[in-house]
Amino acid sequence: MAATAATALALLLAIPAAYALSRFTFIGKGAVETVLEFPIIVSPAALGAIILIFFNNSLGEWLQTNAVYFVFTFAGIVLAQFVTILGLAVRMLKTAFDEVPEELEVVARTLGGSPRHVFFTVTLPLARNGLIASFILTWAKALGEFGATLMVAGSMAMRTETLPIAIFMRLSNADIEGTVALIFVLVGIGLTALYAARRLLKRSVYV
Amino acid sequence: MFEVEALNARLGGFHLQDIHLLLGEGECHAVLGPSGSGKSTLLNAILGSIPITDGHIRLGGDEITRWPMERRRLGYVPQHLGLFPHLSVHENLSYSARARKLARDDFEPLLDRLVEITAIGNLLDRRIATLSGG
Repeated sequence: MAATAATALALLLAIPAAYALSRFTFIGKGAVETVLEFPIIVSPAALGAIILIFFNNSLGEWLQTNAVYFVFTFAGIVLAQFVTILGLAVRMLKTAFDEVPEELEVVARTLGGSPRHVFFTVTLPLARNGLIASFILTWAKALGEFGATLMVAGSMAMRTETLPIAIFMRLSNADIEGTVALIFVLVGIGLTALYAARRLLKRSVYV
Repeated sequence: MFEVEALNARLGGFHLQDIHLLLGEGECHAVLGPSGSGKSTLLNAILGSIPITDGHIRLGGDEITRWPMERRRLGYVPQHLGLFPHLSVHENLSYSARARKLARDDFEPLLDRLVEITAIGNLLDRRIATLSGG
């Protein structure tokens, strides 16, 4: 459930961000891309520590008191997963939008389509397979997220125990059978997601 | 009458400078030039898909320089035909009418007449991508 919520939030932000990066040139574009893709290369544990440190300062404390409490909660899991997958979502979605010919958008605009109408009737449909593949892969990545989630949400059984954290806990308690069973589940989900994404990206959206 | 006056436009490092055009109604013209000379940049500037830095564009007496693309009343057929591959033949033909929110009674009779003249009635439900390129 946390992975689905984190993925939905990430895609909500990533779709407009990826479209802007694909179509427009603006000052600071390189910096924006670097910031968005930074979580892809930095250690998830470091990301989690950064989030934890943020919530220990005045702004972070104010947010937790007046908005949502993140540390050691379900919301913390969603936040940690969201931060780790956002960059990946933006990168994959940008690739999907890059493959939609701008020429077709120009044609649609000259035929009377507003930018919003053209986005929903031409751009999104033509990027459909890439969008779905992005959803599947970022969801699978969120599901397997460990380091940042452990830092922010902890490992409380039945409260903030995600699948990777459950694997870690069972291994720590020398429960090898339980560990292997959960590994099979996680690997199975990952392989299925990869296979589905590959099939979608190979298939043309045109037929 | 279509007029371009002192048009300047920039695309990346390319700068189109001081272009003048005057096209009378019913006239047919061609823009010729070597690769990289600015033909596509000029076209995109006239269509409004790239911003112009200076100059004017007028169509039938209207100053359309700052108008959004969808209001300029300029048709555009690109090199690769510009058909929407994910839409059916009928959806392609009616795209403009639906984008401009025209009532079906206003455009369907004309569409039916065009389909009859071109004898493509049997292709209306086919997606463009499934049609032969010839």
